[in-house]
Amino acid sequence: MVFTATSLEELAEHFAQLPGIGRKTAHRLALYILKMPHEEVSALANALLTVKEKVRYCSLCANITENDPCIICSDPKRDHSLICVVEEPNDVLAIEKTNEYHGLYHVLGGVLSPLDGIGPEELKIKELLHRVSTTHIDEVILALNPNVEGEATTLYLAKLLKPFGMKVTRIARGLPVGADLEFADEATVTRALEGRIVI
Amino acid sequence: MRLVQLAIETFRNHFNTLIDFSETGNIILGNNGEGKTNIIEAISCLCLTKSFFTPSDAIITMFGQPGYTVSGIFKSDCGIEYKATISYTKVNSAKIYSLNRKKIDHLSNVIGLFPVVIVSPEHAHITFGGPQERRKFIDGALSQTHRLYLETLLEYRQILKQRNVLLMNAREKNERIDATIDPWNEAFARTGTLLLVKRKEFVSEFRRYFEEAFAQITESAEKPSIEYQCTLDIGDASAQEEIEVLFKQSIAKHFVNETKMGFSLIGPHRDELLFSINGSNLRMYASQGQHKSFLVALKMAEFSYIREKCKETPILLLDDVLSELDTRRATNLLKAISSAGQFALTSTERDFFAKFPQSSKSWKIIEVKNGSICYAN
Repeated sequence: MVFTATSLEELAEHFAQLPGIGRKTAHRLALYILKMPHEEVSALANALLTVKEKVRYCSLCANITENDPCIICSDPKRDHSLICVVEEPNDVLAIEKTNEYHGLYHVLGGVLSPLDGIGPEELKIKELLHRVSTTHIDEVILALNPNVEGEATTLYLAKLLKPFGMKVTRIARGLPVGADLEFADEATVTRALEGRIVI
Repeated sequence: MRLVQLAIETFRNHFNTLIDFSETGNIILGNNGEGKTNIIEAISCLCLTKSFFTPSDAIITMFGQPGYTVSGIFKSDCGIEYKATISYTKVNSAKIYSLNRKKIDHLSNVIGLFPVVIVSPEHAHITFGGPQERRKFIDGALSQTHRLYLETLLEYRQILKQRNVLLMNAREKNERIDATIDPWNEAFARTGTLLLVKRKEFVSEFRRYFEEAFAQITESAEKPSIEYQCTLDIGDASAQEEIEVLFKQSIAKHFVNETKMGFSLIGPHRDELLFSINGSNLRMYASQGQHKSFLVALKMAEFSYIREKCKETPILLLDDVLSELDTRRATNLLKAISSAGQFALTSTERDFFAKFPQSSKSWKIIEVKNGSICYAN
């Protein structure tokens, strides 16, 4: 149903397809675009196209990048014998922000979930195995989310990586920093106890 | 835990009902269809975040109303007061639970805060119905007392779903899943073992409470028994590590069959709790009255079990339990519950309670007519 102008409705329709945007917000955004100065709108349109044209996946780590290999993979100062396996590009950002990790990454693009039709073929697992078999890697860190699917993927990868002879580790699960033990839920406390370390 | 006051708004046939409860016995009287059970259902919503009757909140909402609200004031055994409110709105099907005016983030965090034991005709399925009803009984009792059990159970169900999809793919599309199912088997065995260990522990502890309750209600020489039947062959193994190893062996043994069937054939989700009286299977041979006595004893035992584990006396809700019991068993039951803690019991027979001296002294009689309280002493 078109109440205003066809082109405005069409734009709103496109916005509504984006994740987290409902019909009302889509209309509000479309109206806002209409009020924006012409040059800002064309800058936005350009940005949309550029991102689609320029950004691609790094042929080594499968992270998003404009130059292949990506800045992280081509940085000679980083430790090239260390790979941290994560689910999504967002997770790379999260780890990079710490400034404490200086190895490389490998972005899987998801986790195993038969319910959603995601098997090993749909993830960048073959690429990971190719990497560890062709370059010298000392350690692979599995940094997947601690939910049912993340756990299964961790187990799956650990089994595949073990025969290559390098160290395979996983990130710790347990209490977040700054949290109080008394407010943590039972599952978290149990995991934290399981993952205790000698000091 | 005791419920001191309950306010129900646009819930089933209660438009706006406020009830002050006695901290001992509460007898809810009324004819059929007046709204007695609805009060019990409202209490269950407040304690367990959902009705014991139906999973649909839209059905519970009064016809033509946008949602419902139930709030109550609880008092713990040591005298601390809690104000809890659960409200549901149909439009966005949102359920909000607040405790002392603070919103609770996850509804599952409420389970166990206000321990409750409910006995209603709905629960007859526990002794009459299929094995899933008895598993639900164990899961319910353990979830209220062991938080980690509930978490593991939710995890296990998700793993099971994922694993079944793989097995179904193997069956329908002839996919080779030997390698891909491996991590799921691992997780399946780990969580399944945890559930199994807890359930076995539960049954062996629970037996004592149960036999006591059954003897008290029936006053007979009947010998009841409950036995946990495992789909896995774990023999006498009791250590967690030992069971996990056997679990994995079992998975390997059944794998070919599972790919033929397309779902998981073994695991705690297919186990059975076997009930019998004098050695014969309750489900097949027992009379209606025996079923009811067994059920009531199970629930009374659950009550004692929760009280001991949570260090808090549960609230006992009895919906129409006296109807199939003979006078002696009914009298025994009332005697047993009157010393247990707070209870609320629905009935259509006013005269029955006149025999009890407590009924005139400390018990509260609440009469319900057409969704409102028409008499309360």
